[in-house]
Amino acid sequence: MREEGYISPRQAAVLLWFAVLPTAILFLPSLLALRAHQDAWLSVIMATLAAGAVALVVYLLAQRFPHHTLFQYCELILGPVTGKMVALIFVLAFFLLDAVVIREFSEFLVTAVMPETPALFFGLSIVAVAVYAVRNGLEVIARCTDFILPLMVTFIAIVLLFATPEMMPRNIFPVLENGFRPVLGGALVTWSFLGQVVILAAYGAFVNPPRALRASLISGLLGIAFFLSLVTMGTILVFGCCEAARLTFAAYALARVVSLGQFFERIEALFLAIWVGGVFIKITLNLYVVSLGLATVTGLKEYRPLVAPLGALNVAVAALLYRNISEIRHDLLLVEPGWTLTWQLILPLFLLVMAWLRGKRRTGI
Amino acid sequence: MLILIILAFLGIAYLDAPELWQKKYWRELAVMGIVWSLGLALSLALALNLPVPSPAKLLARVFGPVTEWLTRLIG
Repeated sequence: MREEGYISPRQAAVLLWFAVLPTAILFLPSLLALRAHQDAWLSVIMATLAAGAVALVVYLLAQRFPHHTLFQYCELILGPVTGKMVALIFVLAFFLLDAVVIREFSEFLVTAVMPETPALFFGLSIVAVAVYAVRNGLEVIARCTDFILPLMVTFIAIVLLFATPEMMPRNIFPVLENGFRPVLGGALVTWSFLGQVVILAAYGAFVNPPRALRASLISGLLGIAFFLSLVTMGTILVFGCCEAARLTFAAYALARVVSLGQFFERIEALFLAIWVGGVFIKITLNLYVVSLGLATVTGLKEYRPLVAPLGALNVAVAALLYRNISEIRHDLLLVEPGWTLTWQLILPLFLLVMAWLRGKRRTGI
Repeated sequence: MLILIILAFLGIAYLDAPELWQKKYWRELAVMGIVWSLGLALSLALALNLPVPSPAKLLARVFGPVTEWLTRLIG
């Protein structure tokens, strides 16, 4: 299934940031503090190395099948029947991921900001906007990031900079107090967010030129690792690992401690606004990939008619998934790593090995 | 609530279905119809408080042990 537009390698990298960072920044620091204590930032670096393996697999697959999406080369590699089944697994996985993100978004707004509003309302409104954006195509989504990215980067910098008076260096010492195993445990939790770079296999086909995919994968991963470890380090430095583990939204709490000379205060409202923009991109990108994937698997001429019904189904599934925020945290800690490892690393690796064994490749258009 | 859900889903159908019908894109119409009716059925079931099993529970049953094993292996 072809799409008319192309995106630049830079836009692909930025989309990759938005595919991982928004929810990771909010949920990860506290989960990491729980698992890896003061070495949380080391876990982020470990997990980035592991995500580098996915990036490598994605890159090698993309080099064999330039201008083809993940769902298309599933069929090219495994044949029509098995290929469609594997592609359908990817579609379902991205669909569930999107539902989880929608639920995380609405639960955060309900828990931290507007406790009296029903969670359904938040999910409904963001998906309505996302449906509108997806129907306009990938180029439009990519151009949305040009607006939101500078805001997000500036804002993270401001929060970290103005929180420095509250930071205590002794909070991250001793480094590696309990050896390396807690760090690896933290890396496992981080993995379920960082592994989402596999989404580039789905929209990487629209990057022009295809050779530049390596640059966007590398800069995408490095950017994610940079911001994630900065924010994690910031929360650990300010709150210490025990307090950070107790705060559900540690990064949001970090924005709350910023206070400068009694007039620069309460900037968490700004954090909220920009974060909503980031999550909007994440939900939109996932919805786009799901619609494109389903259209490819069923052999449709265009994906646009599927977007609105899929969005509606997504809202319903998001409402169904969990009962409350603690179930989300429980799942992120105890279920997601195994599930994401299966479809984000093992399944693409299996595709690559099959492509090698069967000698499948497609060059040119 | 029920009426709102049905109205919303009719609105979603109105967005694309008439155009697809005119162009005679039957395949698109069929796939869209399946997704659409799944969404409608699930929304109605949730609104009526029917017991629908959560996919997260299913994932937890299958992949919970996997994660536990991985955690014990490395963490």
